[in-house]
Amino acid sequence: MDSAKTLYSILNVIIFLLLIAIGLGFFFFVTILFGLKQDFVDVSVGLINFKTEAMLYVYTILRLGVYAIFIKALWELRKATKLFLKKDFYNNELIKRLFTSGKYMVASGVSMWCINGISDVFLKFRFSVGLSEKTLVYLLLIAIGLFLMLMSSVLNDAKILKEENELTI
Amino acid sequence: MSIKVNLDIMLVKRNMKSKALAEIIGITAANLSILKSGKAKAIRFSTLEAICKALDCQPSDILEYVEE
Repeated sequence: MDSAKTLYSILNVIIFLLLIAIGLGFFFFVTILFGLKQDFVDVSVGLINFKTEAMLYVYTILRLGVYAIFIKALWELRKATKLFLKKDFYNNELIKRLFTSGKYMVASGVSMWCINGISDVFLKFRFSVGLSEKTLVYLLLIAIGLFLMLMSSVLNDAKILKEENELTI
Repeated sequence: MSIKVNLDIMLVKRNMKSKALAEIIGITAANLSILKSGKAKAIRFSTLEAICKALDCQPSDILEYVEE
């Protein structure tokens, strides 16, 4: 159960950091939109890669949305890990949360991949062939999501077997 | 379920209480109740053997196949 404890701590840290990052991102986005003066983020730096300012905003909003989905996936995984710590493996809630977490993780991986690809082609007018480091991360995210969904179905099957075993007189 | 458990009928025929049968065959009254109500998913041969021995009957007297 030490690994579950470690996972729980790591998830807490990741969620905390991501929430701060999203909060800061949203704050600076609003300051840029309303033309408030600040010295932290310079739109011109972001605009180096993008053709127009609007494209940068669209890209940022989409990325923030995907991060929100990713945080939801991590949050569900955190709740599932908490149930793992209670050693209550055949719990419907645990099975459901693992499945939801996996689903959201696959969704965030796929959408991040799509947004990156679309933004490269249509917003940045840049096209690259081959597997980049980012693509590998997205693939890994999708794989983790699918693994969580698999774990959920395995636990569901185990629950059915346990029930059957308990109802054998 | 298409397998019907007629344990209560046999208990009435033998004039025996569920609690007494549970004690004889060595299972809890709660488990015997699950078996009687038809909620059980399976029955062990050893349990069936003990029930048949206690009630002096055949497995067919306790279990019955009913077409759904």
